[in-house]
Amino acid sequence: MKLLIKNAAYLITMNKQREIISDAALLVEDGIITAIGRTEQLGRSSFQPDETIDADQGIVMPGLINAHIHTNQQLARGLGDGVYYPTYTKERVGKYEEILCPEEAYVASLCAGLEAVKSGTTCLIDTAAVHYKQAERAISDLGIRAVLHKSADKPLLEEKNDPEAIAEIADTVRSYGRRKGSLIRPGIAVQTITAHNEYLLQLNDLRKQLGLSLSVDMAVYYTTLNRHKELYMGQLPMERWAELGALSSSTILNHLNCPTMEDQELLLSSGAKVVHCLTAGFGLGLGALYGPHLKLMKKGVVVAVGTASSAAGGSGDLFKAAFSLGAHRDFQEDATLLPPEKILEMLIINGARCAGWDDEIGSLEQGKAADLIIIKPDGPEWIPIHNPLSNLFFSGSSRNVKAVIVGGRIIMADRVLKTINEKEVLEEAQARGIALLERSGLDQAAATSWPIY
Amino acid sequence: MSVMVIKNAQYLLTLDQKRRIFKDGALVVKDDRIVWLGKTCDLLMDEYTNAEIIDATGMVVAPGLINCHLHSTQQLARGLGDGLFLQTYIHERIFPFEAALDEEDVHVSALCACLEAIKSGTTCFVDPGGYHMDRVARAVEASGCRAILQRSLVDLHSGGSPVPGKLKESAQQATQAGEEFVQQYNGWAKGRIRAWFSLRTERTTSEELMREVKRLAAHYQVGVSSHVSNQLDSVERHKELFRGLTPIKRFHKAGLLGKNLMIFHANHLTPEEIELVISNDVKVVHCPTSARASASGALKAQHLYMMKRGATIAVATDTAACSNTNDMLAAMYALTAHRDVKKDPTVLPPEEILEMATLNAAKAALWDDEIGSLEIGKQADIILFNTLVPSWTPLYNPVSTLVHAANSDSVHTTIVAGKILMRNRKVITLDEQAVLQEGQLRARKVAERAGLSHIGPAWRVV
Repeated sequence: MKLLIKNAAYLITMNKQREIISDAALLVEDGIITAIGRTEQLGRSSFQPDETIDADQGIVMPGLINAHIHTNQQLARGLGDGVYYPTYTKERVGKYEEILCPEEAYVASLCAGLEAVKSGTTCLIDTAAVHYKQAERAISDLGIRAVLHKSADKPLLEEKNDPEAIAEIADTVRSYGRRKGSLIRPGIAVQTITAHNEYLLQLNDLRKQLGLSLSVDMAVYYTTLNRHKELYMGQLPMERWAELGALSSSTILNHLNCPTMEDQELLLSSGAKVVHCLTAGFGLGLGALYGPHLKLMKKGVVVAVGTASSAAGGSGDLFKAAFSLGAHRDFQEDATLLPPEKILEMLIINGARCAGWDDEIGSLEQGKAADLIIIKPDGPEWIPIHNPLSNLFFSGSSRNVKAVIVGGRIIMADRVLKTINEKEVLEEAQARGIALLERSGLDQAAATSWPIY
Repeated sequence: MSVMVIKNAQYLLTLDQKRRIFKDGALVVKDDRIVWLGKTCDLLMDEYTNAEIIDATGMVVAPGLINCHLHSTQQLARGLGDGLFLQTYIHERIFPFEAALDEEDVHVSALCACLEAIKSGTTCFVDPGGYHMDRVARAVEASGCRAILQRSLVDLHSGGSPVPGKLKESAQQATQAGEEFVQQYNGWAKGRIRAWFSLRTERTTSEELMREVKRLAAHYQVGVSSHVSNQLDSVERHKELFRGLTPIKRFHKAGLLGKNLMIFHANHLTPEEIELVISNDVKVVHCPTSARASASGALKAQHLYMMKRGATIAVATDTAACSNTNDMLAAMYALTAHRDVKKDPTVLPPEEILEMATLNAAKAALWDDEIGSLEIGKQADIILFNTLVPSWTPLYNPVSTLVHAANSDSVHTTIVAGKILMRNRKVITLDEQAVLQEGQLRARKVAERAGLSHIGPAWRVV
């Protein structure tokens, strides 16, 4: 299948030189980018496309990568409103996940993927899918790229079940193992508190054996650190993980809002990746703006961006997450922090590195996968354009994403999904979500404090 | 008499005294006012036989958003404040840019600003002042928006804040120009436009000008506004110039404080100034998105404390030049960062954030008898959100989802004073494409004249 994309006013390559090409076109053959150049030049080449997309003076750029999302939790939108983190994990999403049935999980993941596509996301790093198979099916049906981490969470101190648990995880991740050309790769997700030493060692061995990533919510809030210290003889999770060899360049640390200085040193020497989930901080009052993310990035740590959960902050839209990063400038009182170029790197290249997939995605270059989006800079919020990169996240919104292409396949064109029926998915999600809340007794948790007649 | 019936709304948020929400809500508008609202099943359609019907199935109906700080004359300067601290931004970017605007540029700029407002659910805005404001008035009138407009009054330009030569005038000249503007435009466009007095900033206003403006505002029964204490160095420079006085203290000495004073930003007030603001019922406008670009420290300021103490705090966007957006949903969402800074998820629940963009904003604009909520007898300034989109799904709590997840492209219909300005995202009052095209052309020309045409990406364009 040959695809030509032409008439891009700008093509943001994100290549090593960070070149932006004007009046650009791009050729794709069997999902791989084969050439990038001017429309005038590529339009005339002997390449005979099966399909041509006219970018109509829009911006062509690599797809965004959401480096931390719980797709299974999409039907829990807003359940974290107004509660602190411990209540959130136990009584809100904890309860939700307990009650969630497989079919609901499928719809939740599909709906999360849908919000992602409509906001220009081509790759998700899904953490701790409770219903792994359903998440996998939903993301496959949608046709986007993902690293799906199988949740290895289990009740605390149930050591006797370890072999069983490990066998099940091994089984799952093997069956979805790295297949050539597959858009979905497996990984393993762990919780700092419930993964005791022996269990963590075994999981880490499995990870190494299969070449997978290990995803963990780390130093999200002080209460989890306190609980960890109580259970592990005063040790902080990063310290324990480092001792057990579980910190490596394949470890993805989500949140990392309140690590100690020692934690940060361990991180620097390990090459572990970090995902900054600022909007979850806004939702749950986690103190993410106090986190060391920008400092770590300056020191060379890969810091990507994630939206975490629609239960914590409500939105899975990376444009909102990108816009929110601007709060660092206000909070740190430094106008020079996080220019749009830096934010683009966090959302694209750093996301690809986090996913361990930067050899194939994260930039538009010859030989890389055609994961790209087309931005149509129309509407009053985009006018005028002095600096298109600034307008992208600070003025425009996900509304401007017109087309989404993953591995050369058109997933969305003119904001219409090609792989699923959007309306049907939304209607089913709404119906299932309401039923689930009623069944779980969480409907009050989600309600507005204003009277409804 | 024209009648409009909106019915079958999934939720209708009234923001009335009890904050009632109607499921399956309906609302009736006669001419420019709301005459009935409730549940669709209680609607007596027989009474409205010739009404225009809007079917709001699957929609959330809410009061129009009110943006208490929108520089419509800076719309063509979008993003020019990127990466700069406030003083550099003001002196090297926005003052030169404003000085380079001709009348026609201002007209187009204001039209572009109105388009952004309408398309993101803003039905009323307060323009903090500029020049050629008569052209802004004509643009607002054509757009159908509601607005408070002001001509910038500046009479101090030594040392503190050197405004471009073109914009200089004496206290007397400024007062006269301000009064003429109010006389002509207060109550204009069938009452949709009101005119106030704008003192541009704390450092560009003499005490004489403050006293004159105070007297005239009382005479015409209109409001006064000023930018105040945006950044710490705004305050420091003020103290250097005015014998160690902080801005609000000097305002107080000149007798300017009062319930008809609206102050913008107020990020660096002393405890004593905070007490003065509260006791004098001064209205405060918090601009979290522009604070980001100019690194103001607004997230650490005392707006929430003042609100708790009973002060009226509204939320606003400021300017395309350094907020980069005039989308009120973006400004509302930006407020949620306060929870992160305070490490407290219980502060600023979404209900309070929506109040800051409607009720509080109407109060700050001294217009709460007519707008800010959907109630019988009030002006029909109404917005409709389409909820059959991923960002609104699943929908359990219309207020939380509106504040936390919704994007402005879900604003389906915008109504001001009973007139539909946008329906199904098509703006009816203006030719959107033509206005925007002209906006882009003029913006680049103004940037050239102002010596700012080099602004662009840091990355190489080949």
